[in-house]
Amino acid sequence: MRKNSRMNGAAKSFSTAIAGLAVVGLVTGCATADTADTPTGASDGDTTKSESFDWKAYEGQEINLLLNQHPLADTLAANVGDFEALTGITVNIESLAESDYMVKLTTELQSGGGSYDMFMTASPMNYQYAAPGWMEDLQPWVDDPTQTAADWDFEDFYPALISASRWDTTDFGGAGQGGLWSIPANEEGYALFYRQDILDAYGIEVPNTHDELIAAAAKLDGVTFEGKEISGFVARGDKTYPTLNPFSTFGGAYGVQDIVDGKAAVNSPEGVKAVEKWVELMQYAPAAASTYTWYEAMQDFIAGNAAFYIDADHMAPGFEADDSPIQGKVGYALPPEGPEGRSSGLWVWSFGMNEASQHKGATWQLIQWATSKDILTNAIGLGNMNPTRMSVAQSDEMVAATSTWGNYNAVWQEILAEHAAWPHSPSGTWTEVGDIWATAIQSAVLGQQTAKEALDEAAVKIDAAIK
Amino acid sequence: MKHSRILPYLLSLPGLAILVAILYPFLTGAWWSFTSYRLNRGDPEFNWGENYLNLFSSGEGGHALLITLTYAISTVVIETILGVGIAMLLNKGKYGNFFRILIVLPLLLPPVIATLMWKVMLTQNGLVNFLLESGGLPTSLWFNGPQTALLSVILVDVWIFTPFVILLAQAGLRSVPIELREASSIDGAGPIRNFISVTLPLLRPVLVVIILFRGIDSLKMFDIIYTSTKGGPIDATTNLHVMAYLDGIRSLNFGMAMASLMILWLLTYFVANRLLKIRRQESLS
Amino acid sequence: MTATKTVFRRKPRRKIKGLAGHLLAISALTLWTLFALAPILWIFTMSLKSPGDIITYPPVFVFDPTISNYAEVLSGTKFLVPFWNSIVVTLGSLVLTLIIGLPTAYALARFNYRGKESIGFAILSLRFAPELLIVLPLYLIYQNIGLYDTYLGLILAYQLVTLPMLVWMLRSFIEELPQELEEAVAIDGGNRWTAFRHVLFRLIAPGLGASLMLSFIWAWNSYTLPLVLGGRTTQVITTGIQQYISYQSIEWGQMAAATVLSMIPGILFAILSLRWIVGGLTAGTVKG
Repeated sequence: MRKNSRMNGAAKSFSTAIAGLAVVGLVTGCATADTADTPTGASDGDTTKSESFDWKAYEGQEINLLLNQHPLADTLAANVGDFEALTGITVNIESLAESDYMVKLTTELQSGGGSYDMFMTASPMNYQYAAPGWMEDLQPWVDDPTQTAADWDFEDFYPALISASRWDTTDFGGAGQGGLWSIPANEEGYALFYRQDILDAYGIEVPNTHDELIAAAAKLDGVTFEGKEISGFVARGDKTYPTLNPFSTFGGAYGVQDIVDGKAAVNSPEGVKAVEKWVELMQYAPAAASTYTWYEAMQDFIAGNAAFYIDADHMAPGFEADDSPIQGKVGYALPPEGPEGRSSGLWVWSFGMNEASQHKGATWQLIQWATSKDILTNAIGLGNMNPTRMSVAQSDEMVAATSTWGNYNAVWQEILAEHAAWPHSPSGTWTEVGDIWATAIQSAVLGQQTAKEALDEAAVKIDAAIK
Repeated sequence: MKHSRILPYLLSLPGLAILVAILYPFLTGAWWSFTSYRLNRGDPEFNWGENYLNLFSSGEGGHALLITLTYAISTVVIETILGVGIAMLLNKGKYGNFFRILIVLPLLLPPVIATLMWKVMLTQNGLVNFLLESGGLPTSLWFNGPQTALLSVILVDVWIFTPFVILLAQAGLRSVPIELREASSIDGAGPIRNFISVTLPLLRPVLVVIILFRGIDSLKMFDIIYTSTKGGPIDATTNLHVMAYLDGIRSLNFGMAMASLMILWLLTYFVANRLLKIRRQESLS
Repeated sequence: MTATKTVFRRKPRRKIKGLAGHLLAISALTLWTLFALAPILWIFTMSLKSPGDIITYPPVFVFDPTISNYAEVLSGTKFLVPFWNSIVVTLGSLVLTLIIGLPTAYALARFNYRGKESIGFAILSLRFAPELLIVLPLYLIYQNIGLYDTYLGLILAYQLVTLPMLVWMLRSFIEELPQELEEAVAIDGGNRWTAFRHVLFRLIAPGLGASLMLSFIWAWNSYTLPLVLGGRTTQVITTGIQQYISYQSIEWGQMAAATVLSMIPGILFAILSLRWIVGGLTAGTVKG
């Protein structure tokens, strides 16, 4: 299917006029450029239909990656030489810091230019990019035995993660069904971290429920430990939707949903309760935490300034690094239990393919290679927590890497297996909804509004945004 | 001196060519501001200025406008006064040469990097609070406090851009002949009188350029604010440009984003226009 | 001359006032310089610290310095490529801006012609546009014309930033110099171009120096334009430095080292052009 015009008609014809002269020159040189690979086995520029999977099928092509700065990207960059040797494909990698990455990726995808073939993506990004047709549905590629290596083992991925990568592009519906927009490569759930040494010193038990956590944080807030005054708790608080991730351990546990039947539900009684509890807990965090990004919260915890911390479980390598002041002192617990049980959000960094790519076959080879058992196992050593394949998660390498990290290995797997899910309604406008919700929570934490006031106001804004 | 009629136009031609080249993207952006263009929902559809209405009926536009103006006026005023003052001090004696190079350094850092560094220093448990506490002074939440965030951002702007004013003011002061500056001090007038009646009027052309450029840049400041606070806490530091970024890149609502940016552009246009009228009157007198 | 004070009392007071004034000036300048330099010194010390020393609280001021950060940064292409790209693009922009801007500024300053102020305003208006406003459509155009990820493309885009600044500053400086200068040369039989080359150029040196330096800085520090319009091969230093910001951590030591290194071209350029600014002292004495 041809891509839709992304700019209005006049604009498009203007650009074409300018490019007119250039096109003449290009036509002769790149006769094959327009033949996109289809998952039926026809490779471009080559009329022989491959009978079976062949790593060398796309030899000589060149593909461009745009990646977010992340251990995943580091792993890919470190190992890509092997891929190039294996396939004869040249791979160019560009990686950017996260906010830069979003600007660049958005600009590129909406232009339909196809400058980048492959990129890193996650659920909310899939919602934004899949609906307008900027991403390639990968399911046909997975299903095609001439394009996918026999030992790739699609079933080895955690079902929850594959489900999170599916969407049939209906607004506010169809999550977990329909097209497969990305292949998961890295997973994070949200866990409760605690300082074993501090808890021991003050005789506090590891909290199991929200109320126990709040009580424990209250007891430990402001006490002196090893000559330093510590906070009871720390977490991110900034007003963008990633703050909803740690909050999900409260939200989900109270059964809160963002949108029900097309209307905002953040201000439901459960929604208000969850935020009130969160606000109560945040009173035991440093005053500045209400605007902390993930980085600042993590730094505070690593520096030893807080007793409890809720955030992405994949931060463990940072805690347990050799130069970390809290190495060996951190305990890992499941998110606390609420009326509806335990809950955690999910963030899955995955690889997606640009629908406008001119080298889909080659790109698919890279995607499957980058998410193969070997590479994901390799990635553990480079700090890429957590693996998205069950075999890799349960592997000896994983055990060995986390052996000194207390019960980390058991906890993250249980979170993923039992409690983690992408809790939000799929929609192109979800990021806006998420931002509104996170801002309301921040307002409540700062005490500028009560939880109910902030959430009521947010509900109105959300309704306006999704209409 | 005679000159051919077309010479000035010829000289200006390349510059104008750049302008024409920019026209198309600019007009595209302007067009988008009148549509309900969400980047991922198909082609833009004309919506009769609904974006502009929404901006102001929700109060977000008004608030962003307020922050934009507060930020711009504060930074321009502070930096101009500080900058000119310091430039004069630099000219006072030979020791000025020593300080001159050092003072320029903050400008050499990309604002994004400088802001990151300030962010680290101004965290609640960071360097600056540590020093303040050791000195018995009260600490602050800096970027993280709703009341202090805007001031902290202005602080970073002042740190980075005052050297800009200093540089220009210095070059401007150099063209005020020494004799004129010293003349009225012989007359017995105090240094302040001296400054106001003699130096200041001669500095006016440079001052207009300074205020013009700092003003334009401050009105559309993005890097410093977004890097340090993302426009928060809540919306304490959200100016028009930041709001456009949040709408456009985060929510992919490009119609709204362009509306904010068009307002910003118009604001800048009017401010620059006013300042240039003043300048024209100056050069005529 | 109005004598408001008797002659013999004036001298000693002026002397004391003079000295006090200088002391005040020096202390004020020192204060400001400390404020201006402190964060930079902090960055510099950070570049010499090992990772453990960087994140401790209370912050450490005495530590074992290490040059491993610099070694890391200077090895490999992660830093050097963006660094080089920045140099090429920035200097290229300056050259182009000078070629376009100097004649335009001269025309604005010396001639009276129809539409003069409109042209001047139009050049200035290049700077009004918030970059976000034009960057998306510009991306598409660049892709279609083939300017995406090219030095030329970036140099052209940078004109948005450097051209208005250079034109307007030069215009101010040229306007300050009396027309009689060129008339004098004309009387001697030279034309406008001769006048410009021999006389004016030297006189506007301080203004030119200041304008060039500021244009350099703005071009060097430009962020959004090169991010969107540049690609892998033309990534500049402002995006490149952020490579040290990863998803799970920020490599402060290396980022600090990279920052320090990225300031060096600016410092060199500043020293060069400041000599121009300070050196062109003839401006004041040629009057009248």
